Amino acid sequence: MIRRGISLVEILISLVILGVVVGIAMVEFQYQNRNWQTESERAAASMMAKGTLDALTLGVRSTGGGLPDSSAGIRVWGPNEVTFVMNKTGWVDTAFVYTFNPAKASLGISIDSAAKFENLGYVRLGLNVPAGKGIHGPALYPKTFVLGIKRRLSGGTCTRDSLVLDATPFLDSSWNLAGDIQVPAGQLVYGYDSITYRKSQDTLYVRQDLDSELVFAVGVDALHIQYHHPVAGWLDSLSISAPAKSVDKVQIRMVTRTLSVDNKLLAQNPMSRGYYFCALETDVSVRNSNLVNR
Amino acid sequence: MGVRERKSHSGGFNLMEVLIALIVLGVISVIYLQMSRYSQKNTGKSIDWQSESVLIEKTIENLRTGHTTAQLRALDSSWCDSTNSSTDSVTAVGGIPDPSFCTIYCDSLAKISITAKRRNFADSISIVTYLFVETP
Repeated sequence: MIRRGISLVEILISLVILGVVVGIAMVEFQYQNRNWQTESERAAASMMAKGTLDALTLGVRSTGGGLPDSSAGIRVWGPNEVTFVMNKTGWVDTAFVYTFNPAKASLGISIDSAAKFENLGYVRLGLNVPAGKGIHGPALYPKTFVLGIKRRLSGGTCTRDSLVLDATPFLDSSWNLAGDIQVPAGQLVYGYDSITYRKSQDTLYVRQDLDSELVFAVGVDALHIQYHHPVAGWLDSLSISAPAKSVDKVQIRMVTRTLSVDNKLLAQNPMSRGYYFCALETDVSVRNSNLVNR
Repeated sequence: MGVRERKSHSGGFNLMEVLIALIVLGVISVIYLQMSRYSQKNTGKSIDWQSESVLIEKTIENLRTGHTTAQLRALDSSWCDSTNSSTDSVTAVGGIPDPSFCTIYCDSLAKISITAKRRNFADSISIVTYLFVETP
């Protein structure tokens, strides 16, 4: 048997052919990989835009929801910051017994279900208090307050739940916690929640009630919110024209971008800064016509 | 003597084997490339749908206020919108709800059909919704 084997020339030719084939495959893979990365980033930017737009839309729609007329609204802090106030769970409870703790500047009220209120949220309730700051009883007058929830306490099966509220506003009024303030029996307690969106650089932050600010969206290239006044039309802020600070529609324009710079795109189109963009714009009708906007 | 010489088959591949291998490789490559391109094409499409769905939401929100039931029912309007990432044509057509659909408040309901279509694109999104107009 004669085993001829493979000659050096054959090996070299094979290696060259293999190199060419692998080279073509690598180029194709690189192209596919780059395309996949670009499309993934574009899809992420697109989803980020839609998710953020949906959240802001929900905020506008929910503003004032679950609360009495003229007790909440949209707070416009500036072009990059807005707060929506609502009763998130729609829960309304009744205050039964109350106790003050002057040492901790807190007011405890017993209610049916503390879990229905947002942790670190707010409540809106009516109290009887003196006529003004620095004035003391015995004459007391009804006034509505928004107080922060410090703690929620479960009463278990035997007793009612409780909310421990921040009584600092009463101390600021120099009222005596014992004697100057009364919680009328059967007073309604509304959940009173605020959601604030603030854009800084290319990041959108969210803050719910008394909680810490969290990152909500990244790659936010532009956020433009306009408020429609029934007479003055579209404005970047609330109009002082009559009806003052009225808003019947909100327009949200959102531009998100990919997070990494595409050098090839940058060379082709320097205006793009090397990013792909997703622009979405929507109009939202304000559902509650009795808002107090600020 | 007495040793039988065996015929060797180690001379390499013959032409037929090489051709079959190339055909198999070619078919696999074509399938892979086709799948990859189909996937990319679909990614682009999902972005288009999103843009159009946002546009439809925007249209509904704008129709919610400032229109009477009669105006909404008589609606027959088309326009172009370039506010989103693409330029879309929108068509909104009003109508009277089917009596079997509504049993109460029929006079305050308007049937609205909205179609959003990306310019130079075959696909479009169409929805039918009912708007309630509160009588002052």
